Parts: sequence; C-alpha cells; structure tokens
Amino acid sequence: LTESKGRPVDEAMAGERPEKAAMRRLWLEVITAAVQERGDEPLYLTLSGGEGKDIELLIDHGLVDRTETGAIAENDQDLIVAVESNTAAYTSLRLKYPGLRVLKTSVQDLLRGPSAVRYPTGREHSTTRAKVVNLDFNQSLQAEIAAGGLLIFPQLTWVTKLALLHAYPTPLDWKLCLTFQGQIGWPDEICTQVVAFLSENLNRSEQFAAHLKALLGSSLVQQLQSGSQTRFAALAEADQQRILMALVPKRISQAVHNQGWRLSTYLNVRYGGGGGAAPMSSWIVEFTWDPRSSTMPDTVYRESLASVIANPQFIGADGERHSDGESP
Amino acid sequence: VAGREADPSTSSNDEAFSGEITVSSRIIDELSSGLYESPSACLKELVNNSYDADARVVDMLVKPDADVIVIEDDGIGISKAEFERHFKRIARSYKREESDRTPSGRPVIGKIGIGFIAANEICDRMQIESTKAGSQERLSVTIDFAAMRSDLQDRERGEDALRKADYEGTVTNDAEPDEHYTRLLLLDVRGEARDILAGARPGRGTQSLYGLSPETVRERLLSPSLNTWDEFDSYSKSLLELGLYVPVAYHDDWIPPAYQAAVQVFTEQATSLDFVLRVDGSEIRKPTVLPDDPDGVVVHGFDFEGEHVAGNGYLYARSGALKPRELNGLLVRIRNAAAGGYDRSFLDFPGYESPLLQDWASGEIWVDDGLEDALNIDRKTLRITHPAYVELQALVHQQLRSFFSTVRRDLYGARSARRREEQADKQLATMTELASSLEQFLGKRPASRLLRQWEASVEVRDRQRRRGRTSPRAQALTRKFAAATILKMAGEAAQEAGLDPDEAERLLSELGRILLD
Repeated sequence: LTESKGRPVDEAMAGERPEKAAMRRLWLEVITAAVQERGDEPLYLTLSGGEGKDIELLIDHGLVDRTETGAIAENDQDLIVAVESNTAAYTSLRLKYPGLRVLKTSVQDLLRGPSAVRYPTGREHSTTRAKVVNLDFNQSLQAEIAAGGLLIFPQLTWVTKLALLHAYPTPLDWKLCLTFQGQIGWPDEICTQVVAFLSENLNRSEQFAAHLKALLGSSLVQQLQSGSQTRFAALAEADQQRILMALVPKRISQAVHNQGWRLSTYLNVRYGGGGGAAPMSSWIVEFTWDPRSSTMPDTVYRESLASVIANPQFIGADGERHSDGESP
Repeated sequence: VAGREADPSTSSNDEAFSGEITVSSRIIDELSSGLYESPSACLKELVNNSYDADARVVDMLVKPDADVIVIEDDGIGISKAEFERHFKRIARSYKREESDRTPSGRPVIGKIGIGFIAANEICDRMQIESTKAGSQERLSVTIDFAAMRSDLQDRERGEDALRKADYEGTVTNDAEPDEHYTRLLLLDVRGEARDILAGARPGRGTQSLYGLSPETVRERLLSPSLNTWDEFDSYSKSLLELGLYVPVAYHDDWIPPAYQAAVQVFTEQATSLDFVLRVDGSEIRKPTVLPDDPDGVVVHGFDFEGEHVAGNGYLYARSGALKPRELNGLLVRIRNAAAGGYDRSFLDFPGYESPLLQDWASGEIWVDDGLEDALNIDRKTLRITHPAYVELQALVHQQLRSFFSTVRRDLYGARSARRREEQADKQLATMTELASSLEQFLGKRPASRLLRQWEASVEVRDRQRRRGRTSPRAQALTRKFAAATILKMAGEAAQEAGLDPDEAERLLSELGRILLD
C-alpha cells in the first residue's frame, strides 16, 4: 500500500548506484564487526529513509533474523533502531520490515536539537547508545552563526550530543557513519569563519597542513591561508566535497576529545557529482574511550587529528575506491 | 422533562402533566467513550471501518512496542468535507445514509459511525491521512483526545454540545488520481493498552503467534496441549480476538476434512468477502479451528427462518470438553461481523438439558439483518427481550436439542462403551495374571481350565466390538458388587461345587475377612 514516493531523500536512499552500494557494503563491514562487541545496547541506529536499503542489507547478510512471514524476529527487535519523522516513510519502513523499531521523530527532535542542556532520557537515551550510528543526512552540512557570534554546525552538534550519550552512564565505544551532500552553499560570513578555522589548524599542526595540501592542493590551501578564497560555492564540485572531508572529522574531533573520546577516521570518502548523482562526502569514524583525555587532552586530540585526512578516497562510478587528492 | 400545561379535563385537585423526553449530548458523550472491553475490541472498530470503506487489504503494525500503531487500508478514503461532516459534530449516523451497502456491495457493518472515536480509548492522539480515487486532495488530520479527559464544565460548548476532541489538519493537492487509502496512526498509545498490545503485560502466557503464517497459527491452535488462549501472550491473544471479530477468512482446513462439506457455505461466505487483515505482516484468520477426535465428531449444518429473523449456522461437538475453551459456545455473526465472542450459554439454553454436552460444543450462526436492531451499541451483546432475539433463541434451541441428542447417542454413548471395553481389557489382564498365580496352588490343569473359561469372554466381546457394540460379557467383566453380594455368591458357589461345610466355612470366613477388613 504505502510507497514513500516523491521525497528526494527516499529516492536517493532507494537508489542503487554503484557508489551508494559500495558505501552500504562499507557500512555492513563496520556493523558486522560491531556484532561481536555488542552487549545489551542496540547494534545499529539509522536514518534509513522509507526504503531501508541498509536494513535490507543486514537482513540479507543474516545479521538480523526474520520470522516465517518476514517480520523481524522478536529476539532481534532490539538490534536496529530507525529514526523517521515523515509519516509515509515511517509507515513504509514498518510495512517493509514488520517488527522493526522505528522512532517516529527526527534525529534533531530525538536529540533535543542543538541545546546543550536538553538530552533524551530513559529509554530514548538507551536507544541512542548504539554500537553503530548511521547519520546519512542526504542533505548539505548546515552552518549558522549563533547568538554570541559562535560558528555552529547543527548536525555536528547532534554528533557531539551522541558522543556524550555514549559516554554516560558508562562509556561505550561506537562508530559513526556520517554522510552529507558535498555542495556548500553557506553565506560569505560563514565561509570566512570556516576558512579562519581551517587556517588556524593549518598553522597549529604540520601534519594536518601536509594532509590538507595533499587533499586540496597547495594552491588552494595557499588561497585559503591568505584569505583570497573564501567563497566555497565558487570552488569545483570535488573541492567542495574535499573541504567537507577536512572540516567535518576535524570539527568532530575537536568537539568530543574533551568528553573522553579518541577518534579514528576509518573512512573519509567522496563520491557522486560530475553531472550525475549528487556529490556526497562520507565518513566512518571510530569513537574509542580514552581516559587520558582528562589528563592529556591535547595528546588525545592530536592522535585523533592524525587520521582525519590521512587516507582520503573517492568512489568512482564503478563503485571502486581510489585514493583522492591533488598533488601538493 | 419539559413541562406542558395541565389537561383542563382533570379536576382542580389532580395534577396532570406531560412532556417530551430528549437525549442530552452528555449521553452521546458517554456512549462514545468507554464502550470497549479491550484494546482489540477498539482496534476491531477501526478494522471494520476499513471493511466498510471497501478495503481489500488492511495492514496493522503493532510490534515491537505498540507505542505507535499504524492501520493502513486500500479503501475508498475520506475527504476533508466528509471528515468534517461526520466528525465535526457527532450528532447522527451518516454511515448508512445513502445505502446500507458499500459501493462494492458489502453489507455495511457500522451503524452509528463513531468507530473512529474508539481510538480514544487506547491513544491520546490519532493522525489520519487519506485520499480518494479520482481526487488530488490528500487529507492529513491529527485528532487530539486530550480535551475529552478534561472537566465536564470546561468542555461545554452551548446548545447542548460537549467538546470531544480537537483536530487540526492540512489538505494538499499532490495525490495521484489512482491513489486511494486511509492511514491511521494511533499516537501516544496509553500505558496499559500499549502493554497489552505489545505482549508485555506481566502474568500472562508466554506463547507467541507473532510473525507466524496462518498454517503455523492453525497448528498452534490445534495443539492438544492448548487449553485456553490465556496460554498466549497478550499480543497474540489480541490477534485471536481481532480475527474473531472482523470479517476475515477461515483457516484452511479449519474443520476436519470429513466435515467440511457441512460448513462449506460458511467457508465460502467468509472467503467471498475478499477482506484481508495483516498484523505485523501476518495474515489474520478466524481463530475458529476445530479438532478431529478419535472418538468421532458431530457436525450439523442448519438453516432457520422465522417471522423476524432468518439465517444459517453449524454446530460442532467432539467427545470431551472443547479446547481451547474460548471456542466453546455459540458465536453470532450479523453482517459478517461477530457480535461478541462465543456465548457459552448457547443463548441461554437450559443448562439442565445437556449440561455436560454443552462443554463439548461450538457453533456459529450467521443471522440476517432482522437481528441487527437487537444488537447493542457495543456490538457485543444482544437485547434479550427483542422479538428477533426471542425468536432466534427458540429456533436455535430447537436445533440444539436435536444436536445434543445426536451427540449423546453418537459421542457420549460411544465414549462410554469404549471406556467399558478398556476396563474389561484391564479386568481380563488381571484375571490372566490371577490364573497364572493359581497354578502353583491348584495345579496346572485346573488353572488352565479357569483361564479358558475367562478367556471365552474375550472372543464374545471381540465379536460384539466388531459390530460396534459393547458386549454383554464386557459389561459383566466390569460389573461392580457389594461385599455382601460377593459373600452370598461365594456361599452359593461353595454349595454348587459340593464343598464340605468346614471347607465352605473356611472359604467364607477368609473371604469375609479380606472383603471386610
């Protein structure tokens, strides 16, 4: 009956492009590895869209048992939590996977928005503490200047909140799969602040500077450092994706290292674009609890930074992964 | 009561009065809340609404938590104008305004049109999304039932109206012309209802029917160890109740093959309605699954026609108390939907007539519209003083008398005979052992003679058994005697055997000691 037709997000999620299929296989690897480490918490929290292609993959690979009618087996109903606020997509997911736990809300509402003082509690808190969290936004990274002039990225504040939720009451190592559309449409004042942020880090860490030059090319890095290029929308599509590849894991590392997390950017990849499907940037980041954060936060942060753009990749139209970057 | 002027024909000392009795909106308010005994009874109203909207498939999604229940059908849908007409002011029934048949010809089950409101008993908010074929309009409305839980004085709205709920919605014009559906989301399902529907209510059975095919459900229901639906968890029990109430098909082979011809008309009637309910992906069928029995089964199909009411039905009985016990009794279907569950009193059939056999029986009657007027608003009970009910009761009781008479003869009699045969077999085995043990005392030959004498009973009994009757010899073998009778018989036997008086005295004395100690 229900088909969540019409929403671009569902059509994108339902797409069977080789690049997306390759991404799903990478997610599957991460989730499969997490099965052994899992305790009572959910295995997988996802924004799967109405089609739930990633969930289908888990079922097809036997990670989730189903009953004789195809419903999720009762013993496995705590494994997966999907988050979906759109009624048609919500219904579609539940129809396709009877017994699947689907929260009828947005991830923003689930996490109580960017508020630093409001968090989900009780059962909702437990739900967010999954071994693997997949935030496949299929939208651009939003940025805004908050009251007091602070630059914030709302979706990344949700990641920060997820990290805190995984830290309490007991730390739970977890992995984040994160995907944004690779186009940057921020106004100039935000671009200027982002450039300032990247420049400051370029100057602070030689390793990060070297990695960034390898990714963006010396010329673009120089333009960013000199302030002569601050309009990201004017950059080539691939360079916009790469700016995100550098910015996003860097920003997350910075935000959560004080919470006790050491990050390892397991995957930093771009795909799509080039006149075909939308350009995307995607990451798989491992959050490992590191008690040194309380005594040696800078050390932990530097270790996190080391992997941020150490191995940038792109997925070609054939679904194969390749190293990415301009020559320095 | 509104007073009128006194009748001038009465004397000055008398007080005459008259007036009209009206119904307050308060009564309607009361009637549209608290009608249903269980969450499944509320849900059945919503499913029957889908049936009345000519839906062929209804999907209900409950698990894993029942915190949001989805009911989606492929029926004709509802427009904004229809929604507001039917629900803005619940004052009259629109359900059968134009016809008591749906566009596809189904007899409409709903009578008053307040089924939607049933949802308030299990959830605090309900979202409706719908579109009709040929229209681009897509309706989305959320009804908030919080208002009805506030104080009465806060809900008064003048002109005898009471605020029942609030709604807000939108209409968009993005529907495809061939789309038609209604999707209900029961939001904020209330604690107890949620626990029951999710199967999380403590203290209930643990067997689950979640995610099972109709074939497996049928097997579970036929399990000899199943005594009652209470052995299932509350989720599964709700599924069984839903299947009972709504016009879905029977299970395949819901009655033993040998008796299917007798009930074929009912099987076909249910199938012809072409109505499928799936809950969490599992197709729900009527939970009426009647077992075969080695001692036999009696099935009787019948028609009846009276002045006020007509219909048809079947009665089934097996030897012994029927399990699961929820199927014991008589189920009345009006317009293809059950009016309550199985009535174990068989419409108040006099208990003294067949008290034991009533526990063995199950049956359904499909009654025409004549009885509908006797159906109370809860769709569960019938007004026992209604002429159609009274007539139905007499007609059905007439069938029951004849049926129980057959059951008594064919099942009860046969069962008693079989038990006697079994007891006789045991007696013979004991006597064989006795003959063997007497060998040492009496010698081989006398013991052998005794055994042959006793074994002769077996041959006679087997011949009788082949003819389907209990043999007189088997009855003799299981006969019971008082101690005095045995002593008397022993005295007579001693005389006939020519024992001398001393031997006879010793025999009787010893036998008396054994019998009377």
